[in-house]
This record gives sequence, structure tokens and C-alpha cells, in this order.
Amino acid sequence: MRERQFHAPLANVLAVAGFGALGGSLRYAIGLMIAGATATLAVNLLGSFVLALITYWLGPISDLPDWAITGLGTGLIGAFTTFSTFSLDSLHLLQHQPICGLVYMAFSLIGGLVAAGLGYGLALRLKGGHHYD
Amino acid sequence: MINFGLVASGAALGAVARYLLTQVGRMYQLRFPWVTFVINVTGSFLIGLLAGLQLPQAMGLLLMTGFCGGYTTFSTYSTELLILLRDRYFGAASGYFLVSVVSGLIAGMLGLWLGNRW
Repeated sequence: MRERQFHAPLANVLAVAGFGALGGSLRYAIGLMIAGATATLAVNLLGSFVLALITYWLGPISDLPDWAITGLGTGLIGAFTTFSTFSLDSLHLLQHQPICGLVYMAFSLIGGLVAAGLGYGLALRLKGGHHYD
Repeated sequence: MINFGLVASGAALGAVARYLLTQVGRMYQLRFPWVTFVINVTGSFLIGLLAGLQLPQAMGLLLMTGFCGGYTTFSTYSTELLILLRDRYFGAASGYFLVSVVSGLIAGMLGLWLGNRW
């Protein structure tokens, strides 16, 4: 276990705060438009797709500064998606409509992985001809 | 509009807390995504606790939708799981999956239980 220095530049912290505020607001707005756990499901699947795309395509190919990539990935998409609401929604559904709860969990977990895989695949395809890294 | 302000403020704080913890984690180059795991489990506990407390709407938006939502993250969890599978760490991947989901549920339940009898 090799230790590295703690590294959290102010520009990154501010970007995470600003983009995080935006990500949380977008999630809230979608929650106002779509009722209940479906909103969380939609947000989590979309975010899993976009995060893989940002991490494996936008980050490596773009000239954007580190704070912008961190702001978009960790801030915007990190705050847009949510694990705590997923846990709470699951508990609530399992208690009251167990079948719905299991379906919600399966869709979220398998769907999240598939969405991340699609984002990752698209990222590799888009990067295609380039040789970065 | 004030509702958006509450959610945005909470989410900004939550996201910064997550970023700082992630950077602490980066000091130790670990294969298993411990930081996201700890964040998601503590966040699930906290949202359960707050839900159990039956807070007024404004507090719920600031702390639950905002802070807990911005602090925890589903997208990072999905992406980390994908990368563990890509790199063929099947043991770590299934462990990460099971432990995240089950601990999240247990933490949420524990939080709700505590919040209900506060």
C-alpha cells in the first residue's frame, strides 16, 4: 500500500460544489416530473452511462482542465445520481410491495452496470483512432 | 425556487464531502473501492435516520434530497463495479456488489429504526 500526498486543489473543490449543486437540482427537477422511485431509477441509469463516458472519453481526449473534468464527473454526475435514495426507496418498496421492490432493485443494479458498460463501450469507440493514455 | 436553493446547497456540501473523502482514499491505492462503499453506506444510514425523524419539508430537501443525495453516488458505484469486472477481479466485484447493496439496506433500516424512536 503506497501512500500518496493528499491532493484537493481549491479549484476542484469549488467546481465540485458548483456542479454538485447543479446535479442535485437536476435530480430534484426530474423527481418533480416523474413520480417516486422511477425518477431515481432513471437518474441513476442515465448518470451511470454519462459518468463512464466522461471518465473514459471526455477526460482522456479533451483539453479541459482537471477542475472541469472533476466538476463534471464527481460534482455534476456524482451528485445527480444517488445511492442513499436508492437504498431508502428499496426498503420502502420491499416493505409495502415486495415484488416491486425486487424489480426496482434488479433494474437499478443490473441496469446501472449495463448503462456504465454502454458508456464505456461508446467511450472506447469514440476514442477509436486516437492514442492518448 | 427556494426549494431548488435548499437542494442545491445540500448537494454542493454533500458532493464536496464525497470529493474530499475520495481524495483521502486516493492516498492509499486500493483495488477495492472502499471510499465509495463507506460513503454510500453512511449516506444510506443518514437518509434513513432523517426519514425516521419526519423532518419538515424544507429540512428534508436540504438534508435528504440535497446532502444525502449529493454525498452518495450511484454512478461511481456502477462504474467501479464495471472496472472490477473488466479487470477480472470477479471476487472483489461480487463482494463490492453484495456488500454495497446489503449494507446500504441494513444501514438504511438501522437509521429508520433509530430515527423513529428518537
